[in-house]
Amino acid sequence: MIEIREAGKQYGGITALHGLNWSVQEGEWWGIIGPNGSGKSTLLQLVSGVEKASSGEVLIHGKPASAYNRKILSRMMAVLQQDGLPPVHYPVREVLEMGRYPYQDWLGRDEGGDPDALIESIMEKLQLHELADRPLDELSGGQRQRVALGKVMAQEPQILLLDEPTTYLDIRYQHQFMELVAQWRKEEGITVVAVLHDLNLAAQFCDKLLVLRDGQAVGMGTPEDMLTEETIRLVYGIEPVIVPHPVSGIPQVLVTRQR
Amino acid sequence: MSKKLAGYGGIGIVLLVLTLLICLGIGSVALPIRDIALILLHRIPWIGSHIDPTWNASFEQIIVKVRLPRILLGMLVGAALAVAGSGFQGVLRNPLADPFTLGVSSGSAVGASFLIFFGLQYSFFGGWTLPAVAFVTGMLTLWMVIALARESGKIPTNSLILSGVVMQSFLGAVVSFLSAMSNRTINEIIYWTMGSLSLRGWSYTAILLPYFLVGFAVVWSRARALNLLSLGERQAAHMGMNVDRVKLGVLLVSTLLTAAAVSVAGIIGFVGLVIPHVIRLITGPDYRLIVPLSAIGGAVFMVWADTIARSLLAPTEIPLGVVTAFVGAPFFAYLLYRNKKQRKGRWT
Repeated sequence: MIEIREAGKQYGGITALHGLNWSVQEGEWWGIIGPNGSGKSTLLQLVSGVEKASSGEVLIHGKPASAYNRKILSRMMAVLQQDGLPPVHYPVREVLEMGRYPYQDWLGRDEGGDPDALIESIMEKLQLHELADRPLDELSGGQRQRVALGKVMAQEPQILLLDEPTTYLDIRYQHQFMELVAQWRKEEGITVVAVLHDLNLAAQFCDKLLVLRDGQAVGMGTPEDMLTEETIRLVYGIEPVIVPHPVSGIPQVLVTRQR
Repeated sequence: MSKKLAGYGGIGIVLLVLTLLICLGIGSVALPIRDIALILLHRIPWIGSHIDPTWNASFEQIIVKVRLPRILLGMLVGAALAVAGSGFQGVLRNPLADPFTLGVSSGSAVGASFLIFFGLQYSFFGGWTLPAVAFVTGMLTLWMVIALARESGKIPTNSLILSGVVMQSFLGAVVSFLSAMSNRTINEIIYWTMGSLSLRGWSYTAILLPYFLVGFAVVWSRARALNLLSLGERQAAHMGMNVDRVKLGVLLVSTLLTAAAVSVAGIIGFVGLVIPHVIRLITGPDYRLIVPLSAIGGAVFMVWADTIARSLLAPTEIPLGVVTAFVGAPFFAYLLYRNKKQRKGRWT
């Protein structure tokens, strides 16, 4: 579904990504982890087709991401950024409708079926009904991020790219957000690629992790294989302890203070 | 959305028709509204044949030859400037952008003044020469203002307004210099700097109309894209929008609308600033409503401003730009104040 071959990216004189090889199969949920400046967001930009790789190839369904018509690509792939939606004065329902943009012709007619029914079912799923007519700038950060998720749902993509979507959320909304994505994946079989800072969240929700450091892949595989004390120490330069989650057994990362 | 548009649009059209009927009656000879309505209806084919002319024949002359062309031209100029303003505000995502504050009006006026100064306004393409040249100089000005204001890919409000003011004063000086140099054409160039609709016959309306229709259609058709743009350029790109193409297109067309309006009526400030804002306060941030309602609002506003300009101190005419500045500049100050209070702004 996503095929990355020797992809590199330079900004000015700085290399953000060195010859990365990576492939994502349909229906997988990948987490991309690594310290700040390791190339996570750059990689996501390349996959989303907004930026073009300086070297190598980024293929979506066998075709370079940057070669797609933007509208066609947006029907296939949606992106949710960490800052989600700005506090604009549009009511929630209209923001969700904006997600239909890639399906609309120049007169604003939807070419992809019944948008009203779709928007209704999304509001149902995300419990946005009571917020439908409230303007976005009156909502809390957590509510706004839920609207942002609703907007990318309206885009009906096969691939969802998340760029640190939980950064500004409290722990309750972080989990609520991830559960909503998980439920969406279960129902529609979408492929998810998420850049995440929170290793424990990544371990709980992702099938596989791609670990980046200095623009290079340190490893890729299941959370059990990737979240080892050795890897975390190497990548983040901290002193970790890995413990299995007492309920689920999934590896969780604790940090020991250095003195 | 379409229900809202029909509602507000209906109110707007009623206001526009009332404005037309009332303002046609105001002037050195006051005309009764009933006669005005009948004279206008009489001119409409099919309906007209059912109406017997019971009015004074000189009234008809005054309306059809003098007041009607002026009022219709005012409507077009106001609508063009307001649509241009909403286009600029949408693309630059900046509440203080408008043809005047961005210096585009002044830029267009410089091109127009050069032509008038050298007596070239009807060479090359006849009546189309002035708008074409005004467009080129207006576009150059916009390009320079944006280049001057841009800081690492972003265009901050404050530096945009500053560079607009800088360009405006410089270009204003060029126009003043040209008018000082010329004895023969002094009055005509002065017109451009102050704005006026007087002594403009039907031919001016005919020049402006196609520009307005095309410009309005293009900006309105981009309304959904402008809505998307208010979520941020990256977001818009992720939703399948060709951001650079939309931005360039709307900027070009808004400049063209400005240039066309300036080349028939001179520099009339603040219409493009005030009208989209008032509409936004009433209807909310949706450009699918703001663009068409701004056109109607701009038309109504301009006709009333011109009526004040020609009748308040009659027989002396106040320059039209002076009247709009009396309304617009305080409004601009209010926006600056509000913008300062809420840096992040909820205006979108």
